[in-house]
Amino acid sequence: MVLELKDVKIHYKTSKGMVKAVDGVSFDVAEKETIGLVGESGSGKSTLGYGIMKLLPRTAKVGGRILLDGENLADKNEKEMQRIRGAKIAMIFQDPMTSLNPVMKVRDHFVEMIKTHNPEMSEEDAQKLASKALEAVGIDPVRMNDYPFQFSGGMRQRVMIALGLVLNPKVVIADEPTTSLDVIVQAQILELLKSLKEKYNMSMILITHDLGVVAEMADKIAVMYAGHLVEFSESEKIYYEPKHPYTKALLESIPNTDINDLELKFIPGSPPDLVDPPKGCRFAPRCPMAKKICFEKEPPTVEVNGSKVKCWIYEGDNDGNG
Amino acid sequence: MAMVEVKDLKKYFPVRRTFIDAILGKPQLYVKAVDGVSFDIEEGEVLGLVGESGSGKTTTGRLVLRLIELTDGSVKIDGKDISKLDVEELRRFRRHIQLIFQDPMASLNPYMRIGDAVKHPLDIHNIGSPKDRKRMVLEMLERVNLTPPDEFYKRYPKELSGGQRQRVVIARALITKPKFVVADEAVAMLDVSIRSQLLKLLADLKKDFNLTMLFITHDLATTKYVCDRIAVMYLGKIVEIGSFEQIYRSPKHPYTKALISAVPEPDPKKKKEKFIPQGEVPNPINPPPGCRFHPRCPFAKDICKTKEPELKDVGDGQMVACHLY
Repeated sequence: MVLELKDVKIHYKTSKGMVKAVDGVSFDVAEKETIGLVGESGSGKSTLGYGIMKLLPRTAKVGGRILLDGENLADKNEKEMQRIRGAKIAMIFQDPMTSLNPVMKVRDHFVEMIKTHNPEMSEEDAQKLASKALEAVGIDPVRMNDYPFQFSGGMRQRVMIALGLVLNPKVVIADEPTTSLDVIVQAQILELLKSLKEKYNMSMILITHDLGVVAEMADKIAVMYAGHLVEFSESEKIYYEPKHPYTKALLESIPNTDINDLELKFIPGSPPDLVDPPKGCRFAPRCPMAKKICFEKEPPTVEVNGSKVKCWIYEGDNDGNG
Repeated sequence: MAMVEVKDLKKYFPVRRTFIDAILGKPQLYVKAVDGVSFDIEEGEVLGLVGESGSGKTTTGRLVLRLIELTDGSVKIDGKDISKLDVEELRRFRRHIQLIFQDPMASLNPYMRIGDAVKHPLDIHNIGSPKDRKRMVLEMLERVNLTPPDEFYKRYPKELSGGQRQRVVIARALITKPKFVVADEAVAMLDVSIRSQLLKLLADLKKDFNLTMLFITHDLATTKYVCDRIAVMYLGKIVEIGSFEQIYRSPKHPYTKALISAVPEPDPKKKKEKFIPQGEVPNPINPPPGCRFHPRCPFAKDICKTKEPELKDVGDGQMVACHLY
């Protein structure tokens, strides 16, 4: 396993109280594997991504273990993390306009990053490396001398991706890499990510709210709801045999282009407030299958036909309803 | 007569020219955001207007409500040419034409209670007595499922979730019983599970109020639950328009085909043959000659580079602007 998450907890101190944004999430990422991390706003998916990178504000408290090649990132200080970030684990951000420096040429973004990790490398070599990365994402290296605003949205996202890959990290965390893009450009970027993943032999965590996007990319899917990992399984299993009621409902509520499927299903209510989440299962108030125990006790994570599910339905011997 | 008749609508935004450019006699350039768009919407019909950023779909929506002035063409709503109305006439006519905004956080006044926000259009247009107004607002809040309505009446926007806020925006737009509504990316900011709730609500309201609506979206997949017909825009022009069945079952324009095939498919076994054009939408200041899509179109012929295709009927009212047909 390249990356192992063991009971990761990320809690924020706010004026309203502790926000349990991520509350005990465990899963593994194998070599060359892509995990789709799916959830709605407030599910904790991005917080988890930023938590792995340790890019969270100081008000956040990270618990549990985040093992990258056996090294626990949760114990590292900022100085050690700077050496790890970019080189071993990189992040592709959602909005390339706000995450690229507007007054820095594209070239300087690369040179700064490469030289931070390899201070002895000459500027010329760093540029060569940058050229190669840009070429790999389909950008003419000549454009290194341009500023971010001179690129279109899709091209900027390509620059972001090249920056993430230039040092050949083992794991890349892509946080909604296509959300701010138009559909056609989104499809282009997804194709690009797929081909790069093969070429660079990397593992990826793809964070998105769009189950359609992950289905095209991911080997396995992790579904998060209100800070909990509710289901984790292979992509096909998630789609054809969803186990958790939330996964089922989420799948049914995606608009598709199938004209014979005109019935629109939806999940009533909205996700809970994480300052004071429901006592038992956090999905129980919106769950059509909820029973008494779901409102009282947090469900355990059980294995059902190779899927990990955090749900009381699959615990046979409780209040006789399972 | 159709409820909404839009004919050869154009909007050219001037590109800012420096003083020096003007002295040097450089020509004034224009962004042709909307360049000759025509469509009708019948009473009780919802037309979906689909396109990517820069296609001119939002500008079109603003023009048909006269939130910005058109450069050329005409917009008739219920027989009235709204571009000919003077300020006072337009102000009075606004009760009949309403907009559902995209971002409910930005379009609701944070200091105004929900009830007052929904009541505001009634106050402005002086509809009903104060007592009637309150009753109308409570009914409308109930109708958009903000229940109990008297509870929601007193709340502030920040106390509501994103989906609830968008319900308020919808309630406010419909409270005057408008003849025509424009919904600009009305569900784009919402999460999947909430988005479907809102689409369902819009579909129900469409039936109850017999809504005539222009539903603007970048996401083709959201159109099918509310739209009767769909128009696809590319770089300021409509490239295809047809019933939603025609657009879904037999899209004709290569750009429409691309839009449909680009929608991510969650079913791993239904991996469709993808048709993804290269590149991105070009600069609308200087659009490609001929068919505007030709530089990205794999089927482009010589004629596409020189002659602009007209919208023509390819059967059963499906109109396509493409030299292939």
